[in-house]
Amino acid sequence: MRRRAEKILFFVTLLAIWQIVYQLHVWPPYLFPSPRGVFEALQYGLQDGSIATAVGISMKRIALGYAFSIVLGLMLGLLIASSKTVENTVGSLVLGLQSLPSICWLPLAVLWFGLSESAILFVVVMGSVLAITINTEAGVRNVPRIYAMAGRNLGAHGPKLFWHVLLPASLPYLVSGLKQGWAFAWRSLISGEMIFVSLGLGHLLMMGRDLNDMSQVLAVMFLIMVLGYLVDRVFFANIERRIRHRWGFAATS
Amino acid sequence: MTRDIFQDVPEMLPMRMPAAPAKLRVLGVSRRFEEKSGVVSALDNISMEVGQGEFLCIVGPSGCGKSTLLNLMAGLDLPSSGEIWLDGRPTDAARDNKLSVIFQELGLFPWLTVLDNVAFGLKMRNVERAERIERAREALKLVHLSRFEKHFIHQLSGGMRQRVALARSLVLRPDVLFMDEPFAALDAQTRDLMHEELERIWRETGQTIVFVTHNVREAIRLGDRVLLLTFRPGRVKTEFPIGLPRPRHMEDPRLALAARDVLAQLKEEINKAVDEEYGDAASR
Repeated sequence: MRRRAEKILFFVTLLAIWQIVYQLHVWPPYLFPSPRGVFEALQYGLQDGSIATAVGISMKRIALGYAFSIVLGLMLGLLIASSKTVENTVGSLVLGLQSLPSICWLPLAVLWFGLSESAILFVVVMGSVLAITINTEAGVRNVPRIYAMAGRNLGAHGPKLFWHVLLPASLPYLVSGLKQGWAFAWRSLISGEMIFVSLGLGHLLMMGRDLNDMSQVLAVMFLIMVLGYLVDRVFFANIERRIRHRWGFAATS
Repeated sequence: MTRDIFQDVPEMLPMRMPAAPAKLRVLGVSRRFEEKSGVVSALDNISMEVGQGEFLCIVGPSGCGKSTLLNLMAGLDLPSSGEIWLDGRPTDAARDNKLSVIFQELGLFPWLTVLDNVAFGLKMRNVERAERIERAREALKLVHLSRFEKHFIHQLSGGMRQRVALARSLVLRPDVLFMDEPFAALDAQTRDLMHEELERIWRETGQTIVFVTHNVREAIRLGDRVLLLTFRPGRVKTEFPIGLPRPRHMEDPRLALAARDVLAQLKEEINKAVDEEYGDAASR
């Protein structure tokens, strides 16, 4: 209760400072809009449907790109974990590529795929697949040997051992990989959408800039933040809570 | 000299061969490991057998290769030479279907409920769902855990986890159940309780059990027969048939008496181990 009050107080104060700075006219309103202006922009966007369209398009893209990343990341991670040679070669490439911001892939993507959906998807996948790969690999590698031994002794071999023992045993790692992957995918998508005309939330943001409409820019930024937060806090937090319930606290550290 | 004890109480420790036909036979088995320092011989030309329905305990100093022997018998490892026979036939690749192992760390699956843990082996054998749940429930009843079937592993005490592991193996009705120091990490009270439980379950099911431990009294408490292995390379040093009536009790003075003889011989092997491991350092 006290924590919640603290939080509310903090955000109210922040809004108040924002309002005061706005009223002092330090910057002109088109550079520094009021909280109310941002709220109205948000309201307007919701009413005329431009936000709904943009969110719909962005969500469709990220769903596709993220799904692709999960499949590819799981497969790559398993492959790296299963062979020393693959780890030594592909594994080191993956580690190297992970330090590359995903937006760097955009010029390449545009040359290869043109100004198309595929180019954006490519950037999203490149952004998130490596985090998922690395965590999958760590997850499978860190499965205690005893689970595999017990599993084999109970008759789980080959694909059965993988599906019924190794995969569930590495679940805590997989989920943190998926969570990281999601965060990277979301960032990559928005940056990709900002750079070329493509509809979507990133595009809506840039439209605000082109129209010198700072209220819209802030409104869309707010929206991007809330959407990312919701998936992280509602969706992933739920999965993590379930895993913690099953595994006990030992596995979450 | 140690034989004197037996002469005092001959009816208590009758020397006898296992009454039932051999379930598992170890025939001249050796196991060598290649290490940097050279080839280490863990087991050397060891021969022994396990009778149908017998409770056999294997003791020895640490490093005598008792776990290696268990792994070989259970098909988790292959001998460098020699053969292992099950039911009068050399074992083949399919033997892990019939031989079940309970490891010291148990390896229960934290992502499954107690019931699903117990039903796991049946699922891997493609037993249909209704049947495997029924059989898993039966096994849980046997170990007195019926009320906990929906629990997850981390919610159980050490003793309860042992029972889940027992049920998970017993549900498969294995030819031989191998146990590798399963109670080593338990506190004394829980261990006593598990001894009672295991003895009861063994009598109810007639399950053939091979039990490896470094605890001599535990071995005598449980076994029809106790095999003492020598320090590296492991061979059978002495075989002790234990004729004490069941159910047995840890506090039984006859049990302590029987333990004295085994302990005296174990001591010789431990001294050998100490000489080998610290002898060089001491002479320097």
